[in-house]
Amino acid sequence: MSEKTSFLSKIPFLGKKRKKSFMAEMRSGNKVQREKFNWATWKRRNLNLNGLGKGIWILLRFVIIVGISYMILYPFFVKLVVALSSTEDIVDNTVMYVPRQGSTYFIERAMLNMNYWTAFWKTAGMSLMVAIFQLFVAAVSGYGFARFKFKGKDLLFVIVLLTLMIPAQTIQLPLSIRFSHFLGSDINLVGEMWPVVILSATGLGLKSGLYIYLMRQFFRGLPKELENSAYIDGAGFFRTFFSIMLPNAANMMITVFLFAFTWQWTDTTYNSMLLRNMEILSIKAKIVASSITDEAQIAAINDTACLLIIFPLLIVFLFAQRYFIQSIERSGLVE
Amino acid sequence: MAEVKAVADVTVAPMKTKAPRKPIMSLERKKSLFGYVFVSPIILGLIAIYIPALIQSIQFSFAQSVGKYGEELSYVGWQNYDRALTVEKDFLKTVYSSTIALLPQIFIILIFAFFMANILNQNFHGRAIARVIFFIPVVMSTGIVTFFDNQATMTDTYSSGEKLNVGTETSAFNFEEIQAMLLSTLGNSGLAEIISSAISGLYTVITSSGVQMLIFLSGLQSISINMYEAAKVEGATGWEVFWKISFPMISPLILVNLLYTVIDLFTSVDNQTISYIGKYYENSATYTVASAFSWMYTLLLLLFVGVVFLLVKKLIVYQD
Repeated sequence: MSEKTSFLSKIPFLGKKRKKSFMAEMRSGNKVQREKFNWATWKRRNLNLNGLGKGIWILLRFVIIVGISYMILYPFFVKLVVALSSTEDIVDNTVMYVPRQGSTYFIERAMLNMNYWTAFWKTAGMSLMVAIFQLFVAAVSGYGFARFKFKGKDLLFVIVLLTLMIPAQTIQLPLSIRFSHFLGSDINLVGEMWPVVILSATGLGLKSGLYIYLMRQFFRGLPKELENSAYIDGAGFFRTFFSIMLPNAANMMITVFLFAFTWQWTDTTYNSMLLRNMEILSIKAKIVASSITDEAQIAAINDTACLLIIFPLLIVFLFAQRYFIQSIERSGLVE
Repeated sequence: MAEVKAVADVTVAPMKTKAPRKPIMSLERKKSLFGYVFVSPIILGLIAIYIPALIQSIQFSFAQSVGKYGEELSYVGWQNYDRALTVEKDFLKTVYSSTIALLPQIFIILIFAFFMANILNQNFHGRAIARVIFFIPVVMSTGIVTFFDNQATMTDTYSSGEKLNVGTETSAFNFEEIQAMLLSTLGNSGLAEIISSAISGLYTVITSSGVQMLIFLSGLQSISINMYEAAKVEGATGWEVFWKISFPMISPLILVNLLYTVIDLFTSVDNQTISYIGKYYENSATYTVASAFSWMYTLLLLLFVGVVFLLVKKLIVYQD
């Protein structure tokens, strides 16, 4: 009996009440409606099998989630407080989480020392270029690895994973030699963004191997019928890839793009090797406090600079997070 | 009527075959050719940049000194490696101590990532927000942010004589109160120390287990709901469902995450050995020694990854 009702309740247009709730669901853009709290239902759902145990688990889960969220958000919060403090506030022990006087002194100072807006646009331009190339290479070669059979494929894939394993500093000097005499000519690319862009475009950039792996696994999880029907309809390999496979991979691609963009934004490994004194945020940030002697102020400037660097990323993340979470739900990474 | 149609078919068919045809590649050959096209950016990068750079780096490790542009190499055989093993005794010690220190962290990160992925996979109110918050460290806590974390702890130690104030304690977290509480309740025993060090290490674990959490979570999401329903019908408990379905289904991802964790920890900028070698790279006189260090470390790492891979591969359930 109970099974029957639960089955019926899933079908809309059964009785007035169902219809009403269905319409409400349609109006709210198919969002799941939160039902009215009912102690009996709650008890049946949450405390059914082993009653008390499950209740304790829910409580524990709540504590864990809140505790870890707190640990993640707390440093951001404190950095924000410090950034908005005045020079007196940061040495005043009676001031904790609400600055008494408050000022934008540290923000202005950190911006000045980093040459913020110039560095910001340069960083943004570079990260965008790098992320686009990383995404393109990861998607294209990930598809190649996932769906084509050719000689040496497994070896090539192992080499891609090896590039992740060999520490970047091992080939630090050979790389900078290569880019300071690009292709044997006198063109010196070190100190500009091109070395990093070229490395990303050839699958050798920061964590390229991971992106290629993620895209490969994603494409392997997609049903083969998807392409076969396109081939039967006469579409070529490229056409199939660009108009059938890529749209299906949109969420995963946004995830890869998000990683590539934000990790490039904050990267220090390749930057110090190949970009030297280029005016980008992650290089400028290292010398942000060099002209200051007061220890408390150094710390405050450091915190403010850190916040200024990651604040744009936080905004990017909040925009992208919906697709990011969806990509987790639909990616179906399988070995 | 049917006969007419059949006749029509017969007459049309030979016409089609008579039409001149270009000799075409078999689909298989075409597919393998296009496979190369799709991975061509990587092949180009490997041939033009990566492999020559690796070879040059190996050459450096056998040379006396390196000119500004890598010319004028005078080979000295195994001298640099010899020096690394006999003269610079700190090298092996650093490798050993940093590896030993990282071993428990590998398992803690894996278990934490697995546990949190399971929690984030459950249904609860505010799950969407929790997921957003939990993945903030993946995006934020890298590179320059780690650099600032270390900066702030340095200032923290400078001012350790003073009372704590907001400006100097933002590094990761202030655990001193919790630690003091633990010490007062448990006494100065080993247990209190273990717990407090575990708590203060938790922040590092949270920030470095994001990708692993992501991979586990997507693996859990990909398990067909039919399996869970079947188990429910059969009357399996939550515990059984976890051990008989979830765990075996995502066990391939345990290997992936294990390898990723090892690589991530052993090649990260904060790794002790990496920063130890980095010091030798900064000085042009010891550059060749640093190359030798690097290659020894890289080979050790590859060996380690290989052993881990072979050991764990046996424990994995592959389903097709």
